[in-house]
Amino acid sequence: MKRPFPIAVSGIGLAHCLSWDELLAGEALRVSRKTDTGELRTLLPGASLRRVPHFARMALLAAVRALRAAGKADSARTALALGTAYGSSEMNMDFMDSVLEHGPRLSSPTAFSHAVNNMGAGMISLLLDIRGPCLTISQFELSFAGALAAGRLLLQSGRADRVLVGAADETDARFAACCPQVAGQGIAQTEGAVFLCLDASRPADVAMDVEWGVAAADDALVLLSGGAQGPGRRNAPVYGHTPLAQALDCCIGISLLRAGATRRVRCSCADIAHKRQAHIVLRS
Amino acid sequence: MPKVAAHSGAASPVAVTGMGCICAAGNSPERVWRAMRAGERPLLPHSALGDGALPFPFCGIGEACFPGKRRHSAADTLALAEYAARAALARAQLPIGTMEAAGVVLGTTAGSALHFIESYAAFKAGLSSGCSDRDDYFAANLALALPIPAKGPRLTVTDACTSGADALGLGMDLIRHGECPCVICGGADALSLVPHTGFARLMIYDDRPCRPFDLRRKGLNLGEGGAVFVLESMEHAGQRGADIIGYLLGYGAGADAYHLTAPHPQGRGLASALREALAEAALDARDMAFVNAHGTGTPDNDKVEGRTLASMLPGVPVWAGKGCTGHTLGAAGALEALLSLVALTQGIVPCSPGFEQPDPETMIRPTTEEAPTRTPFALSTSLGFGGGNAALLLGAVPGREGA
Repeated sequence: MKRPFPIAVSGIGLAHCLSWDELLAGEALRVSRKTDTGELRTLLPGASLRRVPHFARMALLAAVRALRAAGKADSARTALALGTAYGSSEMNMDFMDSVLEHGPRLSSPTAFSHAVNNMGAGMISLLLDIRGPCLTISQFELSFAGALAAGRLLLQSGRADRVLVGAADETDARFAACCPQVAGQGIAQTEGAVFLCLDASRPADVAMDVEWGVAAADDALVLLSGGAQGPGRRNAPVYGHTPLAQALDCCIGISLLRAGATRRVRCSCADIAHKRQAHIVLRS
Repeated sequence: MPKVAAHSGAASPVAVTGMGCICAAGNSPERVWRAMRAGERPLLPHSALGDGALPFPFCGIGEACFPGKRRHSAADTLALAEYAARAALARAQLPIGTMEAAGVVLGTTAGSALHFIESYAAFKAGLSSGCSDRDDYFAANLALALPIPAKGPRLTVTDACTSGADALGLGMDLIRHGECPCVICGGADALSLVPHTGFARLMIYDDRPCRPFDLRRKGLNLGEGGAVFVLESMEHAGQRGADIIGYLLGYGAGADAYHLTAPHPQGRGLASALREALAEAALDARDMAFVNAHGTGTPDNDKVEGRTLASMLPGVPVWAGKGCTGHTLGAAGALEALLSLVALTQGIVPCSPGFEQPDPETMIRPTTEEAPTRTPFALSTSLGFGGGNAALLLGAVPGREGA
């Protein structure tokens, strides 16, 4: 029998071409640009960032912002669950370029090691001294739902007192040109990272759960992303076409609950390739 | 309730009711076990991966044994996972209702990476791609694509070389917390030119059969394979009268927070993972029949892992199996947990293929001869890129030895 498990959302961190206020304002995206991670230089020692690729910088910035909002905690009891559809697409394409242009013997070992999907989680763990379990979930549009489900389990099982649950994905022109599957079908492709800092020990203000398969009919405000169908609001015109969509919807949903605009939000997403569905259900 | 479940203070055990595997050493738990005991080193030449492969052998599955036709894409990883899952499900004999309520948690490394180099080469050359590797990547996400009617949570875990172990740990937690009564979990990875080239360029690859923990070790041999478990709650397995193979009793995970590709010198994350797995099962080092070590054969991994095991598990026999299976990446944690459960059930700690000369720096001497197990419990460790560490604690069914 599934047991209810309250979680406190103690911090939210966003690194995106839209600011938090712009995201909540809900106006249509006008300009898609690379995410600015310059602020990291003021938050972490410059030397530590020297070989950190853009994908991990976005994830780091969002994680630092979420942790700052949440306040300090024991790093040995802090865990991480990062959802990423593609990992660092830039490093993956760099490695394939190096094989094709210079041959296997001169291909780039740095690009290869930075292309491994859990590189972002590893960098965050390394630079923010997070020593609990560090998990990466990669399942296209359902990556954040998977990370949230995994992070919730880490708290529920007592493996951590705090877990950073997030999503990160970057844009890469070569990847998008080679793979029509990642293009936005008329909506600008965007990149970024978002993290929620979840605590088991604080009073919960939002109940969060992940449900899989066909959603039960209810009176929730429904936010749709990915291949999800049915009645509901689709925010892609606001934040662009991105595998982060369900994570961004989740942040919007939390904000609406906290403002008292609704009592229940369902962020429904389906992955486009396999048509699997996951619903993040938020209740005040 | 079996005796193994009765330790005071232990978290509830999870029953293993099905297992299936495939790797270079064989296409069933029994065949891989026989190969391990015989000390086989089933390496294929690099040329089996194509003309451009760098000259390092690998533990590959021959064309005759590969399930279906090899496509040199993410579809191969899915094929290995599906083969292992179908074998595990055949053993478990789940009722259809249980199958529909099940979750799927599968780990992979290469299967989740953008390794569609043929399509990308065609794209760069301005040719229309007739290659399928790009489309296979989008169609073969491991947990989402596994063609079984499970409607519970589906998670594709991509924690590099701890993926398979973490998938089993998450599967166990899903059951313990009532998310589903049954989880199909494990890991898979098939090799292609891109990951083989990448590991070779990291200079951690041995051009001869690998020698985990040996003084002369030079690096790893990559392998490929899949290993899948059917896990059930004790209550559910008992109610349906399932034939229980063994138990998953504990899982621990911890990050080094030290370096992206090198382990913490004192094995900080591994020690934490071992402590957690033991505490969860309410057991200690003296209760362990053996520890199945990650033992890749790289100088750094084996030195740190050996020292950590010597300090945390003094006197516990260390068995390293990658000399037979190769390093199967995202499958490794699940494959080695499976072999550990076979070893416990058979009551035998096998020898460690490739290990001959002890290295004083590792502070351990892995098994060189078979020995009987002293207890029904064992640990299996995994270490990975990104500083991840995981430990699984497995238990045999009392009285089932030799089954």
